[in-house]
Amino acid sequence: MKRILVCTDGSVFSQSSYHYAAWLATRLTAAVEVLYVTDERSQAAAEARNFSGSIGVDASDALLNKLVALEHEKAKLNHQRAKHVLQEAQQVLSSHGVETVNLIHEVGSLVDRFDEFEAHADLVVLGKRGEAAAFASGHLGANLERIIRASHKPCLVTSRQVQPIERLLLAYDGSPSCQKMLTFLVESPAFQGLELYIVTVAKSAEDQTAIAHIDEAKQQARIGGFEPVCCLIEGNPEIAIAQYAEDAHINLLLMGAYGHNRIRHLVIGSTTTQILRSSHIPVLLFR
Amino acid sequence: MNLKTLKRDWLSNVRADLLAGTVVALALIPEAIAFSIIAGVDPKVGLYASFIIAMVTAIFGGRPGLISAATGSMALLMIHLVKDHGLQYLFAAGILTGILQILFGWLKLGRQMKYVPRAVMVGFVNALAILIFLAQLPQLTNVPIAVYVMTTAALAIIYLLPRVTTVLPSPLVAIVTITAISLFAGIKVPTVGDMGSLPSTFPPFLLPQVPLNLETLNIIFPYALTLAIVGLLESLLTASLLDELTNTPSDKNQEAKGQGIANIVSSFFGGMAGCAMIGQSVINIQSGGRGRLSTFSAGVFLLFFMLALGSWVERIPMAALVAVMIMVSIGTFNWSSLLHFRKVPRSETAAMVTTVLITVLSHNLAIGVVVGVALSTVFFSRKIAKVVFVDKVLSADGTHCTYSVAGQIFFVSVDDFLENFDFHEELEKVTLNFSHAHIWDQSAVGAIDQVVLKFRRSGAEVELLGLNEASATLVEKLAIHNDPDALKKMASH
Repeated sequence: MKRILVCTDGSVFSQSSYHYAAWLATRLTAAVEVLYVTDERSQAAAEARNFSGSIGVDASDALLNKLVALEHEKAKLNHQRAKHVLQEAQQVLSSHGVETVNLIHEVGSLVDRFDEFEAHADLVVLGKRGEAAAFASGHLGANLERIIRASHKPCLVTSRQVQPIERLLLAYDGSPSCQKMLTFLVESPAFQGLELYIVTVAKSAEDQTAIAHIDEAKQQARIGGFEPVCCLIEGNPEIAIAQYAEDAHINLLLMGAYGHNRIRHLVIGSTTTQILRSSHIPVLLFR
Repeated sequence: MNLKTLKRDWLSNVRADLLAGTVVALALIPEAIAFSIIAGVDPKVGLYASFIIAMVTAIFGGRPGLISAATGSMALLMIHLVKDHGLQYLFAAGILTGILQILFGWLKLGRQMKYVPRAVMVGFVNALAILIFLAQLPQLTNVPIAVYVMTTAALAIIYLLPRVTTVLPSPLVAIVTITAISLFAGIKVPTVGDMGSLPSTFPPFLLPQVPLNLETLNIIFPYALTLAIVGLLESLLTASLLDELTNTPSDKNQEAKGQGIANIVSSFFGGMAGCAMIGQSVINIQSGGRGRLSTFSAGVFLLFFMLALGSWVERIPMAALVAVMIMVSIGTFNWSSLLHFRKVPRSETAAMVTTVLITVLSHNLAIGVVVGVALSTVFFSRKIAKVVFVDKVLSADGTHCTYSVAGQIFFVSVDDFLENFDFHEELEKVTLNFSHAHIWDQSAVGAIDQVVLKFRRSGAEVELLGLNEASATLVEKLAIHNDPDALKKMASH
């Protein structure tokens, strides 16, 4: 049985991730685990705003009691919220025909403990932004990039709108993560019967390695029973891929994540981040 | 220390940490100045120490949010060193203190804190509070009446203002108000400026001017050792207090190393040795400080106050600082321990009171703690020794007697153990059943020997039963009753 891990925080973006997770789970006949993590730091820094700098009789005992009372209330609210969010997730998932749904509530830091959480999962689903980022589009969630970088599993990053998935776009550059992606495409029942588009972006249309790449991808896809529409486009990957996806009315983009090193990332930014930011469709990332 | 924890320790709580740092810096000034005077050095020695120690422990310490600086408990230990040998030896002792503390941290002696029972900890805290309070008395004797009025007024502001608003640090308001009044009214009272020179520059780096020989080591080592012990005790105690308050763990051995590094750096820059402070750390947590940044910013703000406002700091009447220190002492004292006098076992109260008395009399927290721990150990072993039971069952025909022993048999309990045997009965067989007992030491084995041999002398066969493995090994190794020459040896005793 395959397992899909859905990270939720109860925000609007989580809603759409339930839908996509349900779609994937039914196609893969996978179990869905819904994870809600209560951030422990927000609990620890309980509001004790007292700048009087004055300590009275039994100062530390009094302060301890006060902090315990404050954190108790806060933790209780957090538990209630977690329960509510998880129950909602279960409802949505069940109503979409997912049979096995496990609800997990943890306290800690999602990013710091992500390794543990994803250890048993085959695929991770999470919203592009969370509750912390309002609706400032063009920004990514506070945890997203760190989680994708830390993750060893394919990650589906969901957008706010939910669309039925009919057309897939595979951005192929021949890297190892793209190889993994092709294997997944061919072996897994998830995308069988969908329209497949494959693009490779190159500096010029005569780039031999690019042509070789796209042929290779095409052959692999054919083995998997797809009839891909292949295209080699010139230009800047981040712009060209997003543009192509828009023009072809693509519903799901598959690509390798963070293929380049950190130094390049520092100087010109990461292609993955750019595409995640600008696209309005879910993106399935492979490391 | 990886990047993740570093980031969390420093940057998870920036705004609150900075605000708390400001509040704490204000509470550091009076202690640094007051105890520099007690130690017999210029206030600048304490102030340099305070901001250096705060900044260095923020970086290297094991407990985020812990406030360390020049403290009273350490200053009290330095008085004689400064008086007899001078400031340079104080710096040398500070460096040695730091080295010892790093060594203690490296040897993971933080764990050995478990040998200090709660009663002694409470005694330590109470003694510390009393010492801080007593240290204020010289400022309150043989002074104009105005000083008493000012101290009372400052105390009133410190305790009453928080009832109106908790946005303003009340010690600051008290200090500013009292200073303003004394300046405008032109009242002649002792001020900080009268106590010695204040820092006007960044601290200069200097090597202690002492001869590097065995004689110097002889002078400074005893001081350094006590300083290191007292510093670590107070620091680790405060660290556990913060662990409890913030519900987060800390690395005690790293804290010991951090304290050591801080003391070395402080001594090289003309500061004295210091340690963590209970009162100020509680103020930090109360003000919302949680991360390393709170401690670090307390140090930086302290430096800023001194350098930017130095000429104003000189004019602060001592009365205002005395009031702040009285507050710290009241906040540090464990008042509930007085309420619990009747509830806690009398032996623990005795240990606590003894710790306090010895410390207050000797002005040395290390002696107080050592005596407290020793006393607690004695009390504890006495209690354990009382739980020795010997049950005697005589067979129907009166020839076979079984003694069942339960409890811990060791040097304190052997007398109670021996009292239970009757050697004057006419018996053929004696069985000693140790299933519910543990044999701990030579004294215990000696006592068993004595029992066995005495029964043998009165003609009975003796059998030992039910010894657990550890006890059996000990008996096998040390007992003489199985030895052919046993009686001879016994006689030679």
